[in-house]
Amino acid sequence: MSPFEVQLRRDLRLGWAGRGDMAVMLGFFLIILTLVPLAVGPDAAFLQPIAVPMIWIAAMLSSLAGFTRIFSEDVRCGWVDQVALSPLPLPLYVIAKAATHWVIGAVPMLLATPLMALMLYMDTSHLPALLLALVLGTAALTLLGVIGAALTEGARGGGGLMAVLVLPLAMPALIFGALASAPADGGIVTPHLMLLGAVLAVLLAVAPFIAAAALSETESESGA
Amino acid sequence: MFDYLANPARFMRIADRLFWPLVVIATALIGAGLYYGLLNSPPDYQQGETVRIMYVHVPAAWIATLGYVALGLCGLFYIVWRHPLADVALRAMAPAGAMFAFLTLVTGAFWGKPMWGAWWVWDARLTSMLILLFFYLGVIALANGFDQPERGSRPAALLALVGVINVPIVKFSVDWWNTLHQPASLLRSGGVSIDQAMLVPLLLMLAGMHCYFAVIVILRMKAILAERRLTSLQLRQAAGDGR
Amino acid sequence: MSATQPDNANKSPAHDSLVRDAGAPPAGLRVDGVALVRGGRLVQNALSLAMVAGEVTLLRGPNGSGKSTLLRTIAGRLPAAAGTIECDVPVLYIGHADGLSPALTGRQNLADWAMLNGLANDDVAIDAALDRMQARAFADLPVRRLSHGQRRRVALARLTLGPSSALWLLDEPNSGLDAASSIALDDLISDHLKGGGMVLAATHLPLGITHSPRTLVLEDMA
Repeated sequence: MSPFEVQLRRDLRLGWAGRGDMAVMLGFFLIILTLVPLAVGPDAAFLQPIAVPMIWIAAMLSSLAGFTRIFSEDVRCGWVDQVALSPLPLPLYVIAKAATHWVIGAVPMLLATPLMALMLYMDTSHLPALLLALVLGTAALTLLGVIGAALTEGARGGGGLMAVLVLPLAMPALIFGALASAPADGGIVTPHLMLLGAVLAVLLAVAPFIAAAALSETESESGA
Repeated sequence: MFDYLANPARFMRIADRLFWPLVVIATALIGAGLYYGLLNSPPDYQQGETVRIMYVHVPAAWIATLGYVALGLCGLFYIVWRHPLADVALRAMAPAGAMFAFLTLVTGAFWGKPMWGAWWVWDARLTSMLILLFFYLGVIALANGFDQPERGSRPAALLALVGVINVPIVKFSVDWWNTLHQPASLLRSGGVSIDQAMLVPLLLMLAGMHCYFAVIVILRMKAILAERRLTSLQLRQAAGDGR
Repeated sequence: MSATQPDNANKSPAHDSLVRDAGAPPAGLRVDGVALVRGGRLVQNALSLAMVAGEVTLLRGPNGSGKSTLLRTIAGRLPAAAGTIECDVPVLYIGHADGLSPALTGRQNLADWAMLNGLANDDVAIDAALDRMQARAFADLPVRRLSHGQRRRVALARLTLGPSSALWLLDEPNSGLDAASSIALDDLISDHLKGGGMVLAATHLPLGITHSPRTLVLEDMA
């Protein structure tokens, strides 16, 4: 087994052990979307046009809730130190972390999306486009979350700080994602989806190295 | 040259020598620019007197944008060459740049109310400036988000770098999203499309406000360096007392 | 590792891998003129240290004198503010943190670490390592259920899995250990030195090892 596969398997194990945390993320996603009709009223005429944007915003906010924990445990317990001394390059370690976080955090959210789309009276013909865009969008968001988590590692008040860092960076993904989720002509692969893919590609190239650079020097928690 | 300037003491000497000339130049240029801009230039044939907001708005927008690029460069120098001064410059520049981004938005609102009939319009350029302001706030928050301030340096530098990569993407995505704003009139492929009588004060203000920005940054850098010396003196004293 | 070269996400080549080719040239650690900064404060200046195979050095000094910072810097986890550090043997680092994920068992943690480094990770090897620190009895419990001393023992068991030429960087290795496991650790270190390994340890507690250690005292730089 290659070092990358070892780390991936370890993270999947850890993710499974901490699945309660991920269930909280999913619950957050569902609750945000439940609040929408309570705020704007139950009328389908109001809800239908904002269903797609609200699903995107709920996906962004609930993802944010899970990011603070991506590296904190590994840094605190010293595993990152051991990885840094091992043959596994830190950027690959970051990719393993991002991949498992996406699988455990975003996939349940994607599975719950059709249900929420129905409850918000979304035009179901857009559902495939929405899901495809969300797959790319949540992946892009996870990579931004990995950057945010690495940069705020050891900071005070990680959660709010994380939002201030990650959400502005996520705006291009939100713009293209929301546009790609409601295609005008019914086609699924729109220019917006491709642009979202381009954003994801840029992040794939950049995020692991930025996050690794942030993790490459961390002071130990209690060291003196 | 960077090694030469990276020495804080030497930097302080050079900064001290540049400081007052810069203050004088900034005052003179801004004074002349305001005189021509407010009193001695024609109103626009479409926009009337409100066009004069441009003399503050446009330089502020330039500084906010260029300031972010400079922030990214500071980040790069700090990450790659570990220059402590790059970190000081980054910390000095971020709030100053944020202030100019904010100024751009406020003057834009003053201009937008009479021209568009609304304080705020979700137009592409306004929106990207707002997002730029958020980027600035993120860097400021991260640089100061750690119990030990110097631990924020590396993350903030990295974030500034990421932000610079992201600025064109944001610009492009927001343009795609919506555009109402009038096209840029100063830098355009067809040459300058602005009357000479307005161009002169605009250029004066551009140069003057950039000098003003430099003045603020130098002032803040000196303050940060002084603060650090104070902290290290206090620490040394504490260590001495502890014996 | 040179402190002046850009040290981004890449690790210094000296620490690339725990697995090295046999027949390497005379191995050792050279710390030359290193300055350490912690919390924005210079804690050590012009620190030098040289070690060759079979040597043990103990770091002593008051709190805040930079013992942990030096170990972290040699491990490549912090930059040296000045000076150079060269190390041409594999490095095993056990810091204040044990490097064990609380949600996984000690055995899983140990096996993952061994696999990550391309070392022997079969049950026999892991059991043998655990036995050296008398840690097999609780190795199948999640680490979060273990006491501080028990975690330390699992973490120290890692040392026996590494190559015999390795430099061990140990930060307070015997803190929290009971008498029996302290002796086990002493034996571990003695055997490692006999086999041509190197040990650099920061400790307040005495180590009962057979080799006579050199001591490096880090003065408080006020």
